[in-house]
Amino acid sequence: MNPQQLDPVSVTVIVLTGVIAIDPQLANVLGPYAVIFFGAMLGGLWALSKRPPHPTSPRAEGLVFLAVSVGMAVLLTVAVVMLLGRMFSIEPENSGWMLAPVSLAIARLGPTYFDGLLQRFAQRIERTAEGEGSK
Amino acid sequence: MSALAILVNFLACCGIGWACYCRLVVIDDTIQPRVRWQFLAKFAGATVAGWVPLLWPQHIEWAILCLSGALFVSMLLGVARWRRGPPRDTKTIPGDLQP
Repeated sequence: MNPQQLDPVSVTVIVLTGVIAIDPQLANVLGPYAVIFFGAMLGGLWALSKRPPHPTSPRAEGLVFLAVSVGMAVLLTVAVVMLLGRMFSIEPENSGWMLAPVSLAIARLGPTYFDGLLQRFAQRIERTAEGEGSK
Repeated sequence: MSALAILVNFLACCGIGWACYCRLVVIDDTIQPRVRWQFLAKFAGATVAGWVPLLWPQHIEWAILCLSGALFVSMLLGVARWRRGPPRDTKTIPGDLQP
């Protein structure tokens, strides 16, 4: 092995970029997720800056909120983009540009919005069940 | 760009990103929106400028352009605040009057 590659700086750079440097095909898979992650980070930070800071530990609580927002966006973005592609008849190969704005929008809405949405959904199911029960 | 320069650039951009996070976490709806946009622009620029040289060393110009663009947008958003001289919160607070 070339001894020049063993200095700490080169090793750190190789570790940071390791996965992508080893397998360029993996980079093609990770590329869209990097875009989704970037959009979700911005959306999550936007949502974070709209809510009142936690009185005792704003940074730790903010990190949890950010992790939930970004995780939610990473999980939902591809499905939402596919759905939008079908609705507006966009070919899957041409729908890549929608990844960043959709992930930004999902993370901006944040877990609070989806909590409210789930609660309304549960209430509607309850009302439907009550209506069927009274018949 | 050498490996050391790439690493130093990455660490500096991480620092900018963390500083922006620390400010955004204490901002709420009572703060002027342009302050929020300033830090979001800086965070976006720092993220791109930090990661692009690591992942795509051939596109360093784009990374630097993103950071300088973000800083320019941030300065533009501060124009209104500085139009009538230094903002009140930048001035030193006079001490309490002694009885």
